[in-house]
Amino acid sequence: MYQPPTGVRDLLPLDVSQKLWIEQRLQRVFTRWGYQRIITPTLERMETLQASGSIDLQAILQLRDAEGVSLGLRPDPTPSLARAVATRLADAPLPVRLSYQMNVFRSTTQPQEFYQAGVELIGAGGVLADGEVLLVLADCLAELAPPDWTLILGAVAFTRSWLAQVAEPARHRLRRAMAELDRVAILAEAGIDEAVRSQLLLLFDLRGEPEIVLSKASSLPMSDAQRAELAELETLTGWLGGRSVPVVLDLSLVEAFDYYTGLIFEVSAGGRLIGRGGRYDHLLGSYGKPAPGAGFALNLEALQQVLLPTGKLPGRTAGGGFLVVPDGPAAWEAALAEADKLRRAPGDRVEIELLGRTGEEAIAYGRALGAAAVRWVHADGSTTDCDLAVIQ
Amino acid sequence: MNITTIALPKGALLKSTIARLQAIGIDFGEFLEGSNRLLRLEDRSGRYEGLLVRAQDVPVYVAYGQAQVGIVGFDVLKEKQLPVAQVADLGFGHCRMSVAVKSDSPYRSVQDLPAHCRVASKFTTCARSYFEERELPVELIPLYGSVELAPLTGMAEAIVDLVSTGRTLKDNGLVELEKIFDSTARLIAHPLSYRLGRVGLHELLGQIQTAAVPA
Repeated sequence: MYQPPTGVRDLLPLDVSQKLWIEQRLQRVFTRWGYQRIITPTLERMETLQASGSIDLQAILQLRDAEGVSLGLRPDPTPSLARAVATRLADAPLPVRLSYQMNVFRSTTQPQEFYQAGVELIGAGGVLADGEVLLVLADCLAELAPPDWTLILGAVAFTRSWLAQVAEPARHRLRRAMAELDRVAILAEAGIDEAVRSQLLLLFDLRGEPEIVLSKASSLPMSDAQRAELAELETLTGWLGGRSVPVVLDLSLVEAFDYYTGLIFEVSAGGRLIGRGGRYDHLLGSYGKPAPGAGFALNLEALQQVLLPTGKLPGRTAGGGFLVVPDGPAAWEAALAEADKLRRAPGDRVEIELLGRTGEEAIAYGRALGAAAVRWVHADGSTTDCDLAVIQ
Repeated sequence: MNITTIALPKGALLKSTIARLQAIGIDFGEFLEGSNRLLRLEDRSGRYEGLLVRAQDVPVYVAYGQAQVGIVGFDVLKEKQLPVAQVADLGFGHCRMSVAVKSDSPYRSVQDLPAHCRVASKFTTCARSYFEERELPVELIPLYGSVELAPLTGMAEAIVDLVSTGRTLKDNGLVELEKIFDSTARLIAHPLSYRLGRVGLHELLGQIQTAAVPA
C-alpha cells in the first residue's frame, strides 16, 4: 500500500480537532495582544532563506521551478515574515505585530514537516518590547496550561560578552561548549586564562531562581554595558515574577550561531522543549530594512503531546448531534427537511443515513458516529427519536 | 513522582559506575549479579531508578529525557553525537580510539594508508570525521564486533577501534598506528532537566563527581 514519505504524516480528524483546539486558543491570545495573522508562502527563493544567516542550508528541502530557480520549503517562519515586513509592509507604522500558524519543513536525516505558532514583534527594541513578547507567551501558556510549564530565560549578548575575552578559535569552541552544555570541554580548553575559565564556569553553572542568579552574577567584574544588561534582566524577571510566571534564569543559554542578539528563551513543559524565541535585532537589516525584532515559536506537535495526558484535548468521544434515518425512499424528502431544521439549532451536527440502513443497523451506525440520538423520519414527515445515550 | 532515572552502561564501565553510585548510597549492585535479568531497578530510598542499557544507548535515553542522568564513555558520545549535557569527566574507564593495521603491513603511519583503502570499524562516525579531517578518502566498512578480524582476513587494510591495554591487538597480530582521542567515563545529563534543575538533580550530579570510591 502507499505510505507517506518518512518524516511526514497524515493528521486524521481526531488529530485535526486537537490541533484546532490548541490553535484557536493561541489565536485568541495573539488577537487580544493585537498580533495580526499573516500567511506567507510555503516556498521561498533560496536567497531569501539564506539571507537570514541563521539557517543551516543543508536542512532546507530544495526544489526547482520550471525556470530552474532554486526554491526551498520554509524551514522556519521568521525569514518569510522578515521579507514580508521589509518589502510589503515597509510603510506600515512601527512596531508591526504579526502572528502565524504554519507548517515548516526540515531535511535533517529525513524530511520532516511540523507545525508552529508564534508571533514576531518588529520595530520595537528594549526591555518593554522584550517584556511584551514574554508576556504574550506566558498568556498563551496560561491559556493552554500544559503540565509544569516553565520559561528558561537567558541573555545572549551578556553571555557572549564574556566569551569575547577569548581569542578565536578557542572562542568558537567555548561558545559551542556553552551552547551544548559541555562543561568538560570548558574545563579541558587549553591556553585560556584561568580567571576567564572560572568566569565562564560560573556563567555555565548560573541558573535557577532569577533573584539568586542575578545576585551571584553581580559578583563578576563587569563593564557598564554588562551591568546595564543585568539591570534589564532584573526588570524583566521582576515583571514575570509579579505575574507568577514560572521562570528559570539561565545565563549559559546561548546558540552556537549568531542569530539572537539579546534576550533568548526556551519553553519547557512536561519534560519537553515546546518552544523557543528571543530578540534578533540584526535580522531585518539582512532584508534591507534595519529594525529590531523579537518573537517566539511554539511547536504544536510537542504541545499536543504534552497536553494529551491532561485530558483537556478533545477526545474520541466528541460527537453528539443526530443521525437522521429516512424510513425508505419515500421519506428522503422529509428527512432532508428534518435535517435542515435540526441544523438550524446551534451546536449539534446532523448527519443523514445515505446507505439505507434501518433498525438495529442504523442504531449501531449512530453509535459508531458518536451521535446522541437517531431520529427516524417517516414518509408523512412524522418522526420518532431513539436516544442512544439512554439505551446504552 | 520525583524519581530520578539514571542510565547505566552494560559492559566495561558497569562495575566502576555501580561502585561510584554505591559510594553515595545509591545501590544498583543487583545489576552485577550473575543471575540478574532485570533491566530496571529502584534503589532502596525509592528516589532513584536505574536503567541497564547498552553503552551506545545511554546517550539516547538521556537525550530523550527518559533518564535524567547517565554514565557512559566519551567514545560513545563522540560516536552518537546526541544532544546531552556533558557534566563531568569521571576519570575511570581509560581507553583510546586508535587506528590499527596488521603488524606485518607496510604502513607505519596513517599517511602511508592508500587513498580509498578499506577501514573497518564499529565507530563509523568517529572514523569518518577523522579521515575527513586528514583529507584521506577511505571506504568504511561498518562492523558490530570482532573488528580485529577484518585486517586478518584481508577485508580491510586498517581498523578504527577502542584500545585499552593493547592486548587484543597484539594477540591478533595488529599494531596501533595512531591515537585518535582518549576516552574516559563521562557523567551526562538531559539538557532540559539540567537547565530546569528540579528534584535535587544538581546535588546528585555534584555527589557523583566527588564521591570517594574505595580502591
